[in-house]
Amino acid sequence: MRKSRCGHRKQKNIAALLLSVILAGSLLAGCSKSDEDSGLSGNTGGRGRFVEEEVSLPQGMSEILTMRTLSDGRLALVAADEVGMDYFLLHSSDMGANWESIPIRNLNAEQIWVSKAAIAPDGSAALYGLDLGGAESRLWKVGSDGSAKIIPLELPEYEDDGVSGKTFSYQMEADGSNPSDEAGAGLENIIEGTEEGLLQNFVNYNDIQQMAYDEAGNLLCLDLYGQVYRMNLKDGSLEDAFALEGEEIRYFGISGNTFLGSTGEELLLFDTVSGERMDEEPVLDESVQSAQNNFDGMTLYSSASPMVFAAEAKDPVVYATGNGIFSYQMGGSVSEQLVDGALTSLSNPDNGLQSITMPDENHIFVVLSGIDGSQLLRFSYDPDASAAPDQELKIYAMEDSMALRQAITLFREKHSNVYVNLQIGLSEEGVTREDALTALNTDIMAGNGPDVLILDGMQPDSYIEKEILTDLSDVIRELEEQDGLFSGICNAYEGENGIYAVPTRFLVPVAAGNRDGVNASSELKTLAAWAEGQKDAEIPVMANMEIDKLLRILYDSASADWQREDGSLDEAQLSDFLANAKALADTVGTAESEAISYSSFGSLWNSDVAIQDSMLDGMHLLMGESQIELGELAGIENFRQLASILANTDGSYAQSGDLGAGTFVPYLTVGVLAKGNTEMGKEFVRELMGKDLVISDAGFPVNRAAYKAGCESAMEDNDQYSEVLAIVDESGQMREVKILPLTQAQVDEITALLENISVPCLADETIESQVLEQAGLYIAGDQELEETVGNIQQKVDLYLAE
Amino acid sequence: MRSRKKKGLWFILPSLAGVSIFYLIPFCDVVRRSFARSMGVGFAGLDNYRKVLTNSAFLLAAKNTLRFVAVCLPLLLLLSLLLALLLQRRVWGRHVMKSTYLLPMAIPAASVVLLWRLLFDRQGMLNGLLERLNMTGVDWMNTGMAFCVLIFTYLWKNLGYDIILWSAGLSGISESIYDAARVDGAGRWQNFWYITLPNLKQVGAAIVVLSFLNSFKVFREAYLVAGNYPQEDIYLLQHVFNNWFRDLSVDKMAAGSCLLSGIVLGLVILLQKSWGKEDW
Repeated sequence: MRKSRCGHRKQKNIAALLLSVILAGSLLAGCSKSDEDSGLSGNTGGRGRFVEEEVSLPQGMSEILTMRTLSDGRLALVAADEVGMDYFLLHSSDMGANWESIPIRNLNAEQIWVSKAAIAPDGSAALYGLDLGGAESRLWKVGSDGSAKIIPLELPEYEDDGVSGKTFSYQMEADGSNPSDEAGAGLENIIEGTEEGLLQNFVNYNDIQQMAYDEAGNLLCLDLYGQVYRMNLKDGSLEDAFALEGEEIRYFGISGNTFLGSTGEELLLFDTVSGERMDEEPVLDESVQSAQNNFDGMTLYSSASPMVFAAEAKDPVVYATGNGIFSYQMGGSVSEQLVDGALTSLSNPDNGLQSITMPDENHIFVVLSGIDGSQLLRFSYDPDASAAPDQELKIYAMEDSMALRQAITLFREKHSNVYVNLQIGLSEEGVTREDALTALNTDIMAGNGPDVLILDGMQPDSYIEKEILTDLSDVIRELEEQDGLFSGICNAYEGENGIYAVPTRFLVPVAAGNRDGVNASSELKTLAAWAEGQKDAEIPVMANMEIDKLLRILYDSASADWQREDGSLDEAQLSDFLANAKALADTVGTAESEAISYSSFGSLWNSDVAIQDSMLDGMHLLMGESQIELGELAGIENFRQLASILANTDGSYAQSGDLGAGTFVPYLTVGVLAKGNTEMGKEFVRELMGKDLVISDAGFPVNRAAYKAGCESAMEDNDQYSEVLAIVDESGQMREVKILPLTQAQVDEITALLENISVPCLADETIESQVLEQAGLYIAGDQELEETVGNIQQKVDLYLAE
Repeated sequence: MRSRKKKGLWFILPSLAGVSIFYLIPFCDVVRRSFARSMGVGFAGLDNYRKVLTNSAFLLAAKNTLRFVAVCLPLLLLLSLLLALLLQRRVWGRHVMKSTYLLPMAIPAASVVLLWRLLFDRQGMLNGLLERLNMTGVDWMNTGMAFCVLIFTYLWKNLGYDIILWSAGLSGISESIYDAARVDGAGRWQNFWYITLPNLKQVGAAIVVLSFLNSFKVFREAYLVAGNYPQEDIYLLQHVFNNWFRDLSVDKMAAGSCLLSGIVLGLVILLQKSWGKEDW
């Protein structure tokens, strides 16, 4: 009996011990760190990887229209030369080392522009495009020897025009005539749409979006309305390829004889020979959604798709998205990742996916299209390459930036052994700047911080004071000697012991439009006085300007010298600023045609989201609705468009701000953490500030060589085409302006302006947010001037006292 | 007895381990950092404490926090005790009232903040009501009235909780003691003073500590309504710590935390002493 009680107690003790161990274990389980986000996870010790390299095209080739592997195993391309007037069939039997070039003959048109192409497994091809001479759409059948023949084609017409009320840019002829007036073709880049519109020219307009051959040699095409046709190249007749039952296809791919059409949310699969619908593939549907989300944040090019499929691969299906290249066995439960997009150019937002082909199991070719033409990439399997890069470079930025991503691409090209991990603080919806900063600081304090910090939206001084950043003087010195830098900008954060944070790009606050208004803009006070005098003028001083935007622009141009030596704000200057800003805000008028909808400069030129809102928007000047516009010049292309608009409207521009000149808005200010991978961090800064990073309208670069390259490009006069900016209002009225190349005098003028810049605006996120919040209340009439100044002073004093 | 104690130790071990891992050991690091330079490297001596004690923002926040606690704590204790006594009687609808008092605890802070904005905005409902009564509206959140709003928030949120705690204490007092006192001719006030209050001493101590600690949580509402830099009367210690964290001023944050912990510990010990050790 005693023994039994003793045993019972022992059991209870063991149970108690177990319970406590489980509890302690479960507490500690939450502490383990997951490595799934890191590209270095998993197979760090393994070997074998597809390694990326760029394949050079034959001399003079610039644009690749399509690509596939032929049935005889050769690689085939349809490409255009740099001018875009001659087209070629290119064949390679040695994985892109050498190319055989066959000119496409007998296109029977003086000037043609081919927009779509498809290659059949036997090497013949189909081209679709525009005969610029006759302003007609054309379809050509091309033999494998390059001989072309026009095939008559009539696409179905629809009631919904699909393009009305949109802002677009297109190519026009040198004499100024508009090739798209009659047929409406040539709309290369539809940038932004509105729901309503009555642009008569384009009613019933239809076009081919995509063409591709299946393995059996059937040519399938997708029209603007999401319908898929089987095209007969003998007579140009079309027949419905599949029963889509009301679904609209956005883009499609071919894999053997399987049609994979994306609705943006799922893939519809059809057998191209029988026309029958195939079973759904949920794994591919997931990829479609992920690719679409990725694509929505990318630069738009008409020929790019979120997802491309290798036509010759039957089973498994081989496809590429911005996330990488994948292989999927039909009916399977998972896609195998062959190439990680984050390690390659596939994730570059400046390039869209156009074609993919996999000639053999060790080689994959991908065509990317970007603003500078096409890029042919070869991924070759290297059994000796480490499965994952052996180093990691963590880059942290509050907001995404194309310039940043392009710098990452340039960096990757030179450092294939480094995995670049870009972390965006405000990437998720609902995350505030405060939340993101807290998370970042926690990581820094825990020793898991980034190696490179983009300090926009943060307080560079607080990181410099805490000695978190490393001195970048050596990088600056090196680049200064190599390429030349706008030193006034680079040295903005120079301290006694070095340069710990450097703005790599910058924006310039300017006023443009009416000459008197522009002359008055050298001081906010004179600008406000001039604007008040124009209250009764027929044209509003500024039309439809949002007060938040106006305040931000005025803050950027006027805040540079508000701070006293002790850091506090000068009360008199702040008071003047608020009073003048209110006077100016009161003159903001409403344009007569309120329904007019068009893009701002920002979205038109694919600038970064972070600066789009404050970029100079010359649209109201172009429409004659505003006397002046205030904004920030974000690059040489932005300046080129402004100069063209001003030439058409007899306006001028000048730097605005209370300093008269000299103020700039720092952008992509970079710092390298002292305790991180400093060597690679500095290497990355070299790319970010380097001359190879030529990107328009993401701020002026501080690198003079990059700036010069941009200027030279903006001065290039293309004899045959020039770009046109056009706006269509809802009544169908079109305003257009030819975007002219910059003259040497214009370049000298803007360069002189940039040379004189050296004072950053008061780029302190806390002060800015307090000033803008209180100023907004004052302008809305919710509080008096004295109260507003008092509130700002009280909050800023508290902030400074901390 | 010894075996029971041992068994109890096993059960307490997981939570002790949790407290040690997540609070005690990290706090040792905080103490270390309070004597180190900004990022925990290099010895700074008492420099961080000097910086904190001469920091005008910290001093203002400490003053406001102290004022807040000094006003709120007695108010909350008295009010909740009064209502608990009232609910103890067989008044009509007391069950409904009990649940009503707990309702504020169930409302998420984000919803409370939304409601506060609607109520206390310059163009809000409260000013609308005042205007209807031909009274001048008040800028509740940008004047000294913000402090009153904060006190109201704290009372509104914590009253129910304290009522429940007082009620638990009250229900623990045996009715026979009151009966005996009544037989001896004790009146209502004497019953309260000589029976109720002494018997509530133990629960009262716990309520004071809990209410004191809860008073720090009012920062959540203050922050959500008025942000990092509110009207200066409601700028509390948590604002300072939050902003120091944003600026990575770990040195000042650590020194401030040590000072605050010392003060809180001192107050608790003081309370313990004044109530008598046997009551804890």
